[in-house]
Amino acid sequence: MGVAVTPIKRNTQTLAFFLALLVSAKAHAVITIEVTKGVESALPIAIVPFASDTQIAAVPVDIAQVVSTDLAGSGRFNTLPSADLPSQPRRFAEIQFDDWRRLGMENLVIGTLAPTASGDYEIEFRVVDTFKATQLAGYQIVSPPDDLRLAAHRIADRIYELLTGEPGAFATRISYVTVAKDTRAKAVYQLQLADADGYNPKTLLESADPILSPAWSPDGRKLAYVSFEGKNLTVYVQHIATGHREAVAAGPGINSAPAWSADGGRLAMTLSRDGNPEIYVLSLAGRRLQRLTDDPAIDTEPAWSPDGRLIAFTSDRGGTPQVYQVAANGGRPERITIGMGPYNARPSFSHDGRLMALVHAEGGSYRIAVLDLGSRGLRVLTDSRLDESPSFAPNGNMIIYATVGSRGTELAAVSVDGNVRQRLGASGGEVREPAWGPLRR
Amino acid sequence: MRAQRTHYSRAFLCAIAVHVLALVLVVFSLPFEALYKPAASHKAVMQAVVVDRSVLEKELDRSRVAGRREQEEERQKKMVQQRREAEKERGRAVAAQKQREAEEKARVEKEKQQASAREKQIEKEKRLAEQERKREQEKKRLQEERKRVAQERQEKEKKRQETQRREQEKRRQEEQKRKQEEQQQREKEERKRQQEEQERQQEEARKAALLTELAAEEAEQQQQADAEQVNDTIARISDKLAQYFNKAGLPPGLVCRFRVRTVPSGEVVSAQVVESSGNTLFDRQCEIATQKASPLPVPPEQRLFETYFREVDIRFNPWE
Repeated sequence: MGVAVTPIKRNTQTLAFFLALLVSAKAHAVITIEVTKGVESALPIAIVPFASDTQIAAVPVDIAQVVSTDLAGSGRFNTLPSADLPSQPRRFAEIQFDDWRRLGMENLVIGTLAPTASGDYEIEFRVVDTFKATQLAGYQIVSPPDDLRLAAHRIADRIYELLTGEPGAFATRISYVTVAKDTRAKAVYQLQLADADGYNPKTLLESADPILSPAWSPDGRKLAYVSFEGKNLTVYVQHIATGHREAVAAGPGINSAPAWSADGGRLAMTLSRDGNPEIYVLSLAGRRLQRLTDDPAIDTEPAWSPDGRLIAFTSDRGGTPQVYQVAANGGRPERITIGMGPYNARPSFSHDGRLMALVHAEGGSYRIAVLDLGSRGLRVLTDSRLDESPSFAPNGNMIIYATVGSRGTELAAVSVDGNVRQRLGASGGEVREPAWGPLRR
Repeated sequence: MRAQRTHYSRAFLCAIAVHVLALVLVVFSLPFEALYKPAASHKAVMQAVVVDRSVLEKELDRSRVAGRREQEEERQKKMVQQRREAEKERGRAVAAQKQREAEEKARVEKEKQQASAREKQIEKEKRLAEQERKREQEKKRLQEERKRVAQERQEKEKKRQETQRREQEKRRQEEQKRKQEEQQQREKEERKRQQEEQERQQEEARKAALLTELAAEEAEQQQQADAEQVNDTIARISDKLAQYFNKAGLPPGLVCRFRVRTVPSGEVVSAQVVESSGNTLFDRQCEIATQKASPLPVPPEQRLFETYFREVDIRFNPWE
């Protein structure tokens, strides 16, 4: 997309450094105060609405608001509501630092927006440290009017990375399946593509038969999914841009739950071609199929580890559904979820391979949980009755999932620390099986 | 003392040497006179007798040789002559005899005289010898006497010196004793003085120690009170900083140190990183915590504030 972020020059307030040099040598040693505790709270940030210096027509997107919502949704930021802003400076020189300090807002984002001759918008923004009264970073973006939301997500990504040290994943997309009823009360299944915040949905496929398990290729250009068209479960790989698709698994019985290897060259799937649902790996280039599991129980929902060496999957071979893992090139499966309750399913690895998201049942409720693969600690992130299909954001910071709300099934996202949960989009009806796409290049 | 004695003995030896020399001179001068003088006088007497007889015989010989023819004439003449002559001769002889006798007499007399003289000489010599001997004896006696006297004097001198020495020694000893006594007295006094001084110092030291102890006790109490207050303040500051120190999302194991300057109200006026964690986000959160925790709960007492809290180091190490 035509939205590039470029750095702009640094702005800083002159400080009276010489005062610090007047420190006199003391006779005794300086006392050291040890701080061995801390809090883990969201970073305070105030985002002042980006305004134009001149009178312009209404801007279609409130950029500051989008950035604010993005950052707040990550769970890493505590944004100041626009109603509470003490002032709305647009330039560094206009900042009354004490005002922001008093509010505990160490981070302040100010920016300007101006239409260009070509009809685009030129956006400049600065991230300011109010305690040091210095500019931490400044950028310039030129964006067409239609891409202003994307520009805002990119701004949010910049700020997120600047202040957390990790890449932001706001300017990414998600895919999911919606189920709607048509005028004759017949179900309509749609494969959707939307911004990570649920905005700008686009339908990739519509079907009267169920569509299941969309999965992003690592390069973000293709989606694999399962369709029940023709009353047969078939795994397709579809190019997003062209809409061209290809069936990659259409044997008798079950063909489901596709998962891409990190290199994009292989798909792990659940196939019952040999009688019982087992995990297979399909090499896309040579169409070579390798069977990984062999058990009379059901083995399904495979997920690749980011390093491509392991495949985790759900199996009830132990009596209840639990998560197992097996070497991607074959081997003896090993149970991962031990002593974590009667139901753990639908595994998904974080981008760094340290965490695994899964559906965890507790007292009849199905919730999203995160398993720390290092410490084997399980943390339940949600508290609803029926949550399903967790999928990590590509920066590992959030998990998108489907939940049953008041209006039906809808999309939600939770920060990995469980602190922030938000509903995504405004679509009514039933929303299922979200999948978070990779970072955009 | 030794030098002095050497001096005395040298003088004594000199004295003896002088006396010995004198004695030798006396002994050697005496025999020369005694031996040569008598021999010379005896030779002179014998020569006088010989000369007289040869003259006489020569005269007789010459008369007989004088011519025979004339001899009778001559003899008569001569006889007369001779007779006259003889007479004369006889007269002369008698005179000669007489002279001879006189001479003899004179000679004898002379010899007598000479003998007597010799006697006298001998006597004289004897006397002289005797005198000499006596003189010698006297001299010797005198010498001895002198020697004795000298010896006595020496003895006396020696005695005197000895006495003097003794006296000196005695005086010296007395002086020494006196000095020793004085010294002892002085030392005694000094000891006494020192002891008193020591006692005084000890007393003072005891008093000082007591005061110091009291002061130390007070200082210790003060210090303890200070320490309690300081520790309490440190804990309160640490707690306040911990409330504001947001470590969310920061990688574990990071530590950083800030040098913070405050004013009596506790307000942080500067915070300089003195030991970076190497992670700018972590360092920044530490600094923000420092700023947000301002004013720090520093003690209201100016002294404690100035001593301990005007400048402090804050070390963020939330991973213990």
